[in-house]
Amino acid sequence: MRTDELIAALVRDLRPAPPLRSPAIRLGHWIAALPLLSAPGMLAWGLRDDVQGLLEDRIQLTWAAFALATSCAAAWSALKLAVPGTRGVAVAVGSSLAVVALWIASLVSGMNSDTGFAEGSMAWPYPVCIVKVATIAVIPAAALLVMLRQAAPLRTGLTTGMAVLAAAAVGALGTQVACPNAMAAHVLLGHVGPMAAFSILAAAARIVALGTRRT
Amino acid sequence: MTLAQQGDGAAYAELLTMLATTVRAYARRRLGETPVIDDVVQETLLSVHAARRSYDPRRPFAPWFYAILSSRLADARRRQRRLASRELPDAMAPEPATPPPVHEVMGFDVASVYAAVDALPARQRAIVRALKLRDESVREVADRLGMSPSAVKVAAHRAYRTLRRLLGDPGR
Repeated sequence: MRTDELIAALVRDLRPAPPLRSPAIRLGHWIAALPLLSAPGMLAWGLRDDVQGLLEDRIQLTWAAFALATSCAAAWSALKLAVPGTRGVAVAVGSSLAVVALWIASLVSGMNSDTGFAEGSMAWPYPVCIVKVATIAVIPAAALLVMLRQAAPLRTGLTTGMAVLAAAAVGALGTQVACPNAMAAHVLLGHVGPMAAFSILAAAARIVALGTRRT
Repeated sequence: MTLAQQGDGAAYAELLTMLATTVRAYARRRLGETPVIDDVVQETLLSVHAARRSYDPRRPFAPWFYAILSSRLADARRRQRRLASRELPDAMAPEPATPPPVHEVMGFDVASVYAAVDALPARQRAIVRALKLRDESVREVADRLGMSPSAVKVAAHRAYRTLRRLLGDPGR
């Protein structure tokens, strides 16, 4: 096809296409919808018996704050990545990874005070928790990926990775509220580990670009 | 672009024509004279079209556009590298076979092939010519003729069946 024919075809295909809202506003929409989006997963697993205790534990609250910060920073990065030519993408991605690194560091340091570590009691619910992280994260991830596909992600691997990291951090937070095992080693390997693995796998699969004409 | 987002076809045609010229010149500077320049131009225009909602009219157009163009140029470079890695050095290339005389290809008389293609219904004829003579892709033919890719494949299959019936086995 010649270029002038392509231009004619694109002009024929033109429909009014109002510009998308800014990444900040779209991030606000996603965060506002998060309780609703993660509710089915949370309802499926229920809450741990001692939720009140979790709310009074400063360490647990710190980990929850890291999960929320990771989610917001990664979603912000993904939404910025989906707008070509946006400034500050490297800072946004770097911030997301820095928050994850701090979260992991906090968990590693928390392992010193874990009880029952030597008996191996931290290991028992791993497969269940991987499923919990996935089921709580799947709808937020789908919603964010739909939002990204409305824009124009050029770096599809990184965009997908950040989007799934954002949703999986929500999954890790929900799992923390649902899982009775609050030991740092378990949270690290059973909640944060799957989150990282899902993000890396999704980035490799570039799922944000599946089934679309490449931007 | 702002007018294009509002559905103004004339402004959009003007913009795309201008962008095509810009991309061509930019790609030539970056890639040199290669056969992939036209691909880069067309892929960039397609990307601009697909991404037009992501352009924020309150921000400058150039960074948005050049980010897309850079991405397409990177793709083109990757493609060139892939092709180059698959090419055999001249010394390793097999000896070319004696080309068949131009009046006969694969056992068929060329004139009779053209006559059989001419005998096809108009749409099938256009599809066969596009796919086999101009080497266009199914997607390109579908876009140009306003058909779905599946419909193009079905029409092409029917055309090939008719051609087989008309031409018979080679050399028979």
